[in-house]
Amino acid sequence: MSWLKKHAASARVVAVIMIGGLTLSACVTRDYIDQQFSTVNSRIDQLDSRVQTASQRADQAAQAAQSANQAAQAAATDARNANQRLDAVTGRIDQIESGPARTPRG
Amino acid sequence: MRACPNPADGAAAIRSFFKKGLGAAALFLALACGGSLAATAQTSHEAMDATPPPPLDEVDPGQPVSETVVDLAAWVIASGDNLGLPFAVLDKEAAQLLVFGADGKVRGLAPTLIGSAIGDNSAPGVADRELRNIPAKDRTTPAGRFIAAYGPAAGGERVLWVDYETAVSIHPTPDTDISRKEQRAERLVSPTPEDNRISHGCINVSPAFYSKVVSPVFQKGGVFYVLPESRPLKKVFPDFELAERVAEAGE
Repeated sequence: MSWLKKHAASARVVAVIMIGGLTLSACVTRDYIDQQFSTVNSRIDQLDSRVQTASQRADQAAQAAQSANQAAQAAATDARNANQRLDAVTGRIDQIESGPARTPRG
Repeated sequence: MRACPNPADGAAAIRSFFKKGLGAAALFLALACGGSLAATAQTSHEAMDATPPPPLDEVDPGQPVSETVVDLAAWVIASGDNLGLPFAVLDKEAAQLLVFGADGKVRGLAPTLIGSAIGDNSAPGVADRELRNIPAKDRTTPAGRFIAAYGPAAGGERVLWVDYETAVSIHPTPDTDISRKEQRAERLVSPTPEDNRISHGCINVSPAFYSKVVSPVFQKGGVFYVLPESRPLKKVFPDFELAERVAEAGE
């Protein structure tokens, strides 16, 4: 009888234990990583929340101001202005991308 | 004539059945785990392709982010002043940079090195001077709203220009003898903003923050808002000041 046949049962048990262990360790590692990410990102999340809240407040204030000032006309003007500004920005980016090389100020 | 089964043979068959069963179970478990892990890896990969990497926070936990920065960022998002582009807010007094994606979500927060001189303007002709010939008083990081984009720099490099006209770019802390002598890396990680004034006007961030946040976010350009330190806020960002006044009046 070969060695493998003689120890087949033990080998199977060891294989099951190893696979089980690997599975468990993978779960532990993922939990650990999730926990670490949540700690690191808690301030970013708070910051996001602060900005979004303030943004909603600013948006409400802008809407209130707009409704008091002929909303439709203002919106149309804003849209035209936004398009013009976007064109200007796109042109500006193209200009920088293709501009002559210069030395950054360190 | 059918042979009567031997009880000893039956026991061996049962042992063999359980051994084979155990082997099969192990094989099944291995395949299931392998499949599950592969599926998890694939899902993670797909998720990474669809969503940006997790935000990076390199600022010392003891350093707060000012209300002015939060309010300015909020105004940018609410008013659409960034025109759908990613944007960043630089607080010179705190030496902090806050980076936002085009969706208005925070992508990162990092300490920066900025111009050694206090001031919000760039001296005329400063971009054309050799670095060593820029007087100490002119080594400012200008305040304002800037359209930033990648463009050519001396030496065949491409840098992210914040203000191309005055040669202000944002880049990682240089790995040079001068940079080491100036202790730029140490200044960047120190928990106080006072020692972060060392450049000739450029904005320096850590190499990790640059490669993981700044470079990918601003690959196609964006808007930089640099808060003033000596000029009044309303002179630098009049629309923001007006919106703030309207909001206060509404409250």
